[in-house]
Amino acid sequence: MRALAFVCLSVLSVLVLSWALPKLYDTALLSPLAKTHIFYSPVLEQCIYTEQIRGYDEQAAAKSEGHHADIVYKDETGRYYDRLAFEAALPFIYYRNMEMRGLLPLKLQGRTFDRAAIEQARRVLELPARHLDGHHPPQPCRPLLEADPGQVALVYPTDRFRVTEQGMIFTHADTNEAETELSRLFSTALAARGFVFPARHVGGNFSTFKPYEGGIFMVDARGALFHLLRRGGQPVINKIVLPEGVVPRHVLVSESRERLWLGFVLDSRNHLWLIRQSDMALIGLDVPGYVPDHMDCKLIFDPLYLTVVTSDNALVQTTVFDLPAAERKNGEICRAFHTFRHEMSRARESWQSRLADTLFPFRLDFVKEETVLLRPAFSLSRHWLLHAMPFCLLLAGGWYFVQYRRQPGGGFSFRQGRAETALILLTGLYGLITLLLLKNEA
Amino acid sequence: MYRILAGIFFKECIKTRLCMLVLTLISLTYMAWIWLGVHRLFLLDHPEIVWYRVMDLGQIPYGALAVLPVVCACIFCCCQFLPEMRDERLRISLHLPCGMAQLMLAHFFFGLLFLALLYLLDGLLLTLMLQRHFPQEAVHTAHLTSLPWFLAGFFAYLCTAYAILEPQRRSRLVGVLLGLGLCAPLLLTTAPGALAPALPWFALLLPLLLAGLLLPSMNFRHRRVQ
Repeated sequence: MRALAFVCLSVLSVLVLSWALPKLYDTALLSPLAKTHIFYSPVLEQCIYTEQIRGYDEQAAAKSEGHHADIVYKDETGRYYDRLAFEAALPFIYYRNMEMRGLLPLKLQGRTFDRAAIEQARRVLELPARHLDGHHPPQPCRPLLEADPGQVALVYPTDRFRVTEQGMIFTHADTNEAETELSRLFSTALAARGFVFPARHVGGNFSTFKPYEGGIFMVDARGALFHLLRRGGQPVINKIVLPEGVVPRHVLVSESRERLWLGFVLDSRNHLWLIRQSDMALIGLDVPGYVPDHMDCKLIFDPLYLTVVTSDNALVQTTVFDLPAAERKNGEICRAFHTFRHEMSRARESWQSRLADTLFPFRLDFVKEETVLLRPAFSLSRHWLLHAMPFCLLLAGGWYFVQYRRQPGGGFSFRQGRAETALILLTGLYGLITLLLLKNEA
Repeated sequence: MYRILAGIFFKECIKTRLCMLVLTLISLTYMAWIWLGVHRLFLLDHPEIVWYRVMDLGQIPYGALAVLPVVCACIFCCCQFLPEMRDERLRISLHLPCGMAQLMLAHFFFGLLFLALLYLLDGLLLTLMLQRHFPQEAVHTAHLTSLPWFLAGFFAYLCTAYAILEPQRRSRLVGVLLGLGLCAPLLLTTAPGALAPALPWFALLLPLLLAGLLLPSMNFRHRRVQ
């Protein structure tokens, strides 16, 4: 019974230590680095990026003039820039600084851009992996804003809806009870347009901090896409014509003043489709290597280009397109004219990461960047065979030797010694600390 | 055997009845205070704005509940086991004609049962106070958010029992470290309901800890009395 209790406690102790020790180590020595910020420069006609680095980079330090020497500005050929040159290479991003320095209006590719033109065309759409369904706790109860509130600012509605098998059910916030009439009105209208309940996905921008209400998109039980707008309390429904084989998985809605693109659709084959506001046509973007479940995605519009930045934990990729022309037909796919991949500084090794890979043969973690949900996951040391395993061998050998020396004259139990050595061999420091604390001297 | 275990439950009930009453009253008062906080939100703002904050922005108006289960568990464990340590009274129980494991497990089960009932009461009050103001989805999320806190309470109870029963100072540290290591991830500030997928894994550790608690019990029984 003692052995069973000992094993149970050892397992628990190893689990707790494999979570706590690496966490403490990271807090003390290995602060996480943010992702690399990468853009396409219309001036240099290549990608340019800025990132934080660990350690010392002589050229970066020289460019920084002693200030923030850990921030590097480089282009895709490896050439270093200082901050001012970096900003000058990205006039569509830093246009307010350009204006302050008297560098606007700007002439590029035979066209002139002033502040108003840049502001009109610039926008960013972001779809981090943790925003996808299944990557965060479900929130099926959403507000449907009134598109014509009778005033300048949008008004937050007093009711919320959920789309169930029974229909679109509205609940009033004042009474916390279902609004039968409103629910019937919307459910009937949706069913009349061919909507099959329940909804697989509801996408919208459920906020009043936007210039107008663009409505919501719903994917029905059969995978058809519907656009729903609440105007004057009545439902305005559009069934979106999907290109051949497209089954929407996620719809990102983002209303902007230029009213050109309402957002984009991510389909089940990991393709991106821009939604044109005027006719709800879907224009495809060919982004190679995009895996939405593990990658964040960012679309950067400027007056000349559309840059799609996709990144996982280690790699960032930019795919640059000419701005899709307004006359493109529904289902047409845009091809990129430039792509660039870069290993981010956060993925590079340092002495701190190598030491961690030596000390900890594995680690237990709950947090992952691509999901809000916390699940326990073990990860093996990146250098398990070369660094962690020899260290575990050293610890196990040392433990066996010390125990043997401390109990001479036949008092040493070889069976127990082998079991303890095996524990340290498998779990390294975690097993050693467990044995040091749990082993009863008596 | 059944009679002895029933006797243990009766003994524990007599011993801790005042503590159980006080903890129940503390819990009720604390829940009333949380209810006042939730109610005040609806006095200060329109319901749809409160819904927006809670359901879209992820604010947790009942967040103060996080510490209650752990605090109750630690207090109850001290009330249950510290008197047993005075003059080593637990040894008297250990001489009863039944196995040590069953006897100690009966003690632990009694504590876990009381805490489970107390947490059920807290959970019920939380459900009632939220059901009145929020849609069912928000109530469901509140359950998923508060479950880790209650689970942390069970871990805190068992780890405190470990630290009290273990006679060796160095090994006593294991109880403290396990308590911190098991409760900390469950009490982490996360998005509401984010810990739900990890809960089955944490629940699996409870029987493991319960079995492990027999080690300090054995250490206590077989130690040399100075």
